[in-house]
Parts: sequence; structure tokens; C-alpha cells
Amino acid sequence: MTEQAIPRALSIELRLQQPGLDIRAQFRVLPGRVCALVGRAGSGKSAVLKAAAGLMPAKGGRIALGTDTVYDSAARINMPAHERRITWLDAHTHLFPHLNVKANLQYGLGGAGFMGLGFKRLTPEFDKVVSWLELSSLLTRRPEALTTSQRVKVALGRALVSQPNALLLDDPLGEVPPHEQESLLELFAEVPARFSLPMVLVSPRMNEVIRMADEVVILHEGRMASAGPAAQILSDVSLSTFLEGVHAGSVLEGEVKRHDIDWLLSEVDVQGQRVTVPATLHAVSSKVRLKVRARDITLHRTVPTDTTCSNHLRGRITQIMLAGEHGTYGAVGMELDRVLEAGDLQLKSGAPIWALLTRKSIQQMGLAPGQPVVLSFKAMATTVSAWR
Amino acid sequence: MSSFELEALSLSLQVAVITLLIATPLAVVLAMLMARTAWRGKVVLDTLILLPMGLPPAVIGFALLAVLGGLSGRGGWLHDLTGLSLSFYPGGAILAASIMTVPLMVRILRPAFEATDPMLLPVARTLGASRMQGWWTITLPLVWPAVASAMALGLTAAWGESGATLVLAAALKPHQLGDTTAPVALVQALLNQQDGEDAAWHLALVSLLIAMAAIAISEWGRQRWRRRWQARLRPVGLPTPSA
Repeated sequence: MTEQAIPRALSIELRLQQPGLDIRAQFRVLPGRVCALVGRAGSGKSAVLKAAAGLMPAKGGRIALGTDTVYDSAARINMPAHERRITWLDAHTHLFPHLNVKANLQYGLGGAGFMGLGFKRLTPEFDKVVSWLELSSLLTRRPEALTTSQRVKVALGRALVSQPNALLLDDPLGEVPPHEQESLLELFAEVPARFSLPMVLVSPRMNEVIRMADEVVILHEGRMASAGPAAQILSDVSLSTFLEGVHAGSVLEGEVKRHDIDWLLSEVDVQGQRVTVPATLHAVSSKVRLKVRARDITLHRTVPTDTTCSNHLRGRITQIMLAGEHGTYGAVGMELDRVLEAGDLQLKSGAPIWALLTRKSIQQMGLAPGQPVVLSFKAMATTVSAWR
Repeated sequence: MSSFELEALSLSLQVAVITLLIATPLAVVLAMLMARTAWRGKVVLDTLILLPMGLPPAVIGFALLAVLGGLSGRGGWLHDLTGLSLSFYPGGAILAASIMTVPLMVRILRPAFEATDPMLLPVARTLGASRMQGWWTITLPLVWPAVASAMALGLTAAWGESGATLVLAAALKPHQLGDTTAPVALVQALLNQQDGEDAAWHLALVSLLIAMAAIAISEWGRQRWRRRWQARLRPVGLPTPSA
């Protein structure tokens, strides 16, 4: 295990049988990328992770790391969990209570020995993880003397020291108090860049998905409702209303351009258009994701002058449909215009963004697909999170 | 002490140790099975395991005789099937002691298995430990105080098993003195010997010492296990004495 394994992609194609639920999922995660499995409680997300790790029997399908098959029902291959080395981590951390932090971290290095008393090799991986997660002052402590967020760090460290082939996270921050989640989320978000592993994330909190996910797979009652790049899937209002109700919104990817120290604002470039947000700590030219709730967006024909909205983006209506439980309101789908700098020809379509409006407003404005519109929203209506 | 007493004590010790070697792995496997798995008919096995605790020990002795032979001179099933016949020592005494000891040990072990986090072993497996490695490095270190506790109590139970053993002794070697375990020897001494009371006192005192030591060990193991268990359940974030 000392040799550095070449990072391999994780391909999952699984059929699972749970009481009252027939689960089918198929997706692929490249090393250093994060795929988020999203869906309501009981949609089968956790079961997919456990089966992929080899902790739960599958009904059929195939799991592979690169070209190496670890499970294939047709070829009757079923590698046991300890040979797959697809590490699994959940909110309860499951630290070994009889071992101190150091021994917990080293467990995956093998040779825990008789009754856990064996000699442990120190690997560069161990030092790397301990210094990165700032665990050196905790090494002699027992798990019971740790706070919840320290436990989560140790559990993450223990998984990474073992140099797994993939990392499966089942709501790892679920037990952490909300005010401590933010800093831990930043640590988790650094994992793909530092360890180059394929990662799968299950989380009920959208901010974690927006912060970490490159791809999103939506599971509904065991079936894949949708899958694709995170910004695209998360901006699809029909999917996000399904997940988040009236908090549904769009995710825009952009780059921080400028900080306004006088007014404590930051400017973010989204496809050549400027979005003003409350000051963020993200450095200039760092990549960020902006979340705007669809119900916070107002539509205009021309840029309004007498308004407190500081953001006016140009776009084009692509579709209008009914939304809400009984079609009570409408959802207007738009594509942001891509404002090109001179000579920079980009033919990619603009980012999708949605507005939730009453049927009356849509009617009175006479909105129809193909029309150009101005989308306005307050700086305060945006949530910024780091990305990449 | 007379040679009769010493012989009884050494026989008792042999029976107890061999019983413990048989009963411990069996009780651990059964306790783990009962604590960790759920299946139809589990309650039936549960009842069967614990049944000897509820039955009068003499009934167990009688049942052993009936099944394995020795009643009214016939061989019984064991003889019919294998040609072997049950002797009092070592077979009968060890069998009787095992049947009485296993339920006790399962009773002590099962809560220990139930209280440990069932996901620890799966997590250890995703970290590269095989089931066997996980058992030695995770499960056993967590439950060993309970195993020690169960073994200590099991030892006294096997040492002192007299109900079923007396029935076997009465049926298999009715008029023979000696060559028997301590509790049975105590009864025989009182019944048959002139200075029986002295011998009974000696046997009783040795048994008392062994019981005291074993129960002390057993309680120590239980306390230690409980402390661990409570530490695991302590709410997070509270200051801990060690920190």
C-alpha cells in the first residue's frame, strides 16, 4: 500500500433492493471530481453508497475503478469491502472508541495488530493529513474527548491516511452544529485538489452540494431523475423546486473581479456581465458560485432606473411553464447573454437561470419565449460560495 | 487434606477449565449472532440457549441420561448411533457443566455486543481490514472486559455445577466413592464418610475462595465495560475529566 496508487475513475452502475424501494443508479466520477447524489429522504442515496463500498449486497450491476472491476453481477465478481478500499464516511464518524486519535488515523495503514497493539508505520500521507487537518495536538486523545467537529476531522483523516481508491461521504456534516459546518465544509472542499480521488457526496444541505459538486445526480424514489454538470442541474427550476420548494434557485458560476472597500461590496463576472454581491472574502480572480433564488428575480423590458436592485443582467426567455404544487405560479426559464470581449468568440450557450412569477405577472408583461429581458435582483439576494 | 479431597478438587478444576474452553467460543459466537443479526426464528434459538437457566438442573441431568444413554442399562441414542457410551468423567461432567455455563455466558456477553456500534466493523473493512482482522483489532478489544467477566463467572459455574452432575453421578456410578467433582464429592463425603464433615468443610472453603476471586474479576470486567459504554454515550461537547 505504500506505492502511490494511480488515481482511477469510479464507475457505478447498481441495482439495489430495499424494502419498498427498487433502486437503480448509474454514474461515473473522475479522480479529483465530486459527484453529489441529491434527493429527498428515502430516495436510496445512502444505500447506493453502502453498496458501492461493499457494505451492503447489491442486486446487480457493475462497479469499477478505472478498468478494474470490483463488482460485476454478470461476471460474478464481488470483491470484499477491504479489497475494494472504497472508503465510506458518515455523520456518526464511527471512530474506534478503544484507540486514540493517532491509532485511529493509522488504522488504515494495516497491521493494527493483535488487539490493536501492533506497530504502525508512519507514512508521508499520515504527516500530510495531520498537518493539513491540524490534528497534531489531538493525537493522544480518545475519541470520547473530542468535539463533534474534531471527530469529523479525525474520521476524514483516517479515511485519507488509508489511501483509498475513492471516498464516499454520506452527509458527513450532519451531526456538526451549524456554526461549525462552514469551516469543515471548506476542508472537505479541499480534498479533491489535495488527494485526487473520485468522491461521491450525499447531503441534504444545498450549500454543501453547491460548494463541492462538479456533477449532480438526482435520485427520486430509487430512480435517477436527472444527472449532469452541477450548475446546469442545480439551475433547472423543475428539479430544484422538487428539492427545495420555494427556496429553489439557480446557480451561476463566475469569477471575482473587484472588491469595493468603501461600500463593502464585491463584483463577480458572470459570462461577461457584472453581478454585485455583499463583500466576500474570496480573492480577486477566484472562482465562485452564486446562488439566486428564483423567486427573488424580477423581470423588466429595460433596465429600471428607480430601484434598489443593483444587479441587472441581460438574457433571453427560453421557456415558460407552470410550477408549484398545483401550477399556482409560473416559472420563466432564461439564458443569460454572454457578453463577449472583442475578438473572443464563444459559441457555448449562456447559463440557465429561472424566475418564479405569478401567472398574472407573466400575462400582464406578455412574456413569451425568444424575448430579450432584463433580470434584476438585489445584491442581498445572492449567496456566494467558493468553487474550485 | 486427604487424597480424596485433592482428587475431587483437581477433577473439578479440569472439568471447569475444559468446559470453559468449549463454552467461551460457543457463547461468544452465539452472543454475537443474537446481538448482531435479525432473522425469522431467532426467538426460538434464543429460548433454546437460555432454557437451561430456567430448568431445574436435575432435569438437565435426566435429559442428558435419556438422550445419551445410561438409563436402566440401555445405551441410548449415542450408543445406538456411534457405539460410544456416556461415562461420568470426563464426558458427562463436562457436557453437563457446558450446558449450564453457556446460557450464563451468553447472558453476560450479549449486552456488550449490543452496546458496541455495529458500524465499526464495516468501517474498519472499508479501511482495508478483513473480517478476521476487524474482529481481532476492533470487536475483541471492545468486548474483552465482558468476555473476561463471562469467563470468570463461567469458571465458577462450571466448577460448582452440581445439579445435573449429581443426577449423572447417581445414575452412572451409584456406589462408587471418589473420582468425582468437588460439589459431588462434598455430597458423597457427607453421605458416606465418618469424618465427612471435615472433608465437606475443606471442599466448601476452596470453592468459596474460587468463587470470590472469579466474581471479583467478573465485576471488574463488567464495571470496565460499563464505563466504556457510558463514555461512548456521553453527550459531545461536555468537558471530560481527562481533558
